[in-house]
Amino acid sequence: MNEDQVIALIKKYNEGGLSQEERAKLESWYITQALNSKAEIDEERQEEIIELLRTELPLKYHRNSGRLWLRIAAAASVVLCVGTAYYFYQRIQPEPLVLHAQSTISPGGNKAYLTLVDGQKIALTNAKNGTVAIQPGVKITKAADGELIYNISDHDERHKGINNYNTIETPVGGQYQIVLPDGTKIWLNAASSLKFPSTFARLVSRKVELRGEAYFEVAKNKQQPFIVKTTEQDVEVLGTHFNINTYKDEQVVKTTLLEGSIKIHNDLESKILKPGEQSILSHRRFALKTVDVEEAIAWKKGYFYFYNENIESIMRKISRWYNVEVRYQGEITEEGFYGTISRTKNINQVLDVLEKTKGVHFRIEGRRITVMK
Amino acid sequence: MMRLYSNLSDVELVDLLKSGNQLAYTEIFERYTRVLLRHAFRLLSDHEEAHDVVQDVFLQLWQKREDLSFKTSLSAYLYASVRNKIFNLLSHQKVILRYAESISSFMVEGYNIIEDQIREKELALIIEKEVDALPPKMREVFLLNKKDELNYREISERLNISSETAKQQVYKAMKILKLKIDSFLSIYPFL
Repeated sequence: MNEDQVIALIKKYNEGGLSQEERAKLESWYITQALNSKAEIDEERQEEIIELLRTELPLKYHRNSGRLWLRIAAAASVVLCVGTAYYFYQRIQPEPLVLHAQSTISPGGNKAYLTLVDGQKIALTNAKNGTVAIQPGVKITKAADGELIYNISDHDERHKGINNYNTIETPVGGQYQIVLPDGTKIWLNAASSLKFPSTFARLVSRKVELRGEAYFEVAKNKQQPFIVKTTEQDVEVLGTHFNINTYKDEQVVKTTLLEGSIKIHNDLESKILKPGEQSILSHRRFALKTVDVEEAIAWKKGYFYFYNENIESIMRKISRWYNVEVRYQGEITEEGFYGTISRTKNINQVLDVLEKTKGVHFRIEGRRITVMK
Repeated sequence: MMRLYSNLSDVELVDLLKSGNQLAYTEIFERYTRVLLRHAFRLLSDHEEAHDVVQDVFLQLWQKREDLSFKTSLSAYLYASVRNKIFNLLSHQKVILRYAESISSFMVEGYNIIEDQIREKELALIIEKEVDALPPKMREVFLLNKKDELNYREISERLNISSETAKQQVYKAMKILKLKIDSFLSIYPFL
């Protein structure tokens, strides 16, 4: 057989026009080929291809798709289990210990206050799309997707000084997105603040100070490294995506790198992070581990993500977002909780879902939540 | 209450898929994409072509979801789809050059022809050999789930995995599968 005949044979096979014997032969060739082939796909390429397929096929999860969270918000409850299968497979629903009060506690939203160099304070709240406010050197716009963007123009003639800082802070139950003049994007979580120079022009480095939690997408600029200072550590960046959680009521400072490379240091030591790694700072020492980065940036994407998380840690997240006081009564479960739930739900819905696990019950009185076994 | 898709057998997933359930479709994708991709690469030795074949197979699975009917099983259907897509590729001039000689000699020398039913089984065996390339625990679960149609709870009992080991396994499996929100919880029923 020459090449043309082989092609004709295959075409005929594709059209279903081969005799049974010929088809059997051709398929037998295929099997032999598969058996004898030494071609082995490279593990890394394989994962890249699968990742690509995930974006191309009509699957029900898409990275960074805003609609995903809307879908989740509409989905049923998701936290299902406390630690063991035992709970999971018990179908009996417990009677709620206490009926919740009728009042609902709403989730947080886009709220922040901006303190300008001259001490002027502006409340940034939800507003219509388009320009919300214009201050000298500051333009606040609301994008179509509901994000409020705070643009600081570098052409502000009034503040040519080098040590002039603006501060943007979010209250409990607020979050905000900022775009700095160099194009760096910052998502500020609730009860956090960011202090930054009114202009980066003529500065050796782009230095900002963070309290609380923020996610950074730093614009590349090799000439001006980007530095995030917190009370316990500094993070040095050339251009990268990462999250820093430095809330005072957490035991440790967690820095999670998604893309690029960062160097973290304090007065004792310094560490370089690779993508997918998280640095945990405790007692002034850094420990690096590989993590599921999804957990660190869930808040930015609009949901809570619990992976074997204890109730105290969960309640700290809840209190920051719903602006509630949390108390504990009696013995408290040691179990880890798993699951995800949208941050757009009212607190009752979140607590109900946690209660379904039977590991924990809640009493809501005004803005005080009591946690019981 | 969320449905745990990884708990479902292929048969159940196909039923859900027919009614347009995207989560079931996603679970099928996650369950089979690796073995199919590895197999396609074995035949084609080309990443891009292997990608195209697997993409076609899953696109077709979604587009034709309403008319799906198998004489055998979902896996056999998927394996046969991959084979057909590969033969489609082979009908292109530039691809066939790689195989023409091998096909030609096979056809002419008339090797023993494998019976229809055995061919199907053989293909399934070959493709499922790819499962060996999966990480051990995933492999075990995949096989029990597929071959014995066990759900994950039965598997956890069968494998007698302690909850601590299971948590570790779940975490690793999560890393590997990079499952997202919807199916995130679906892996840990074998705790």
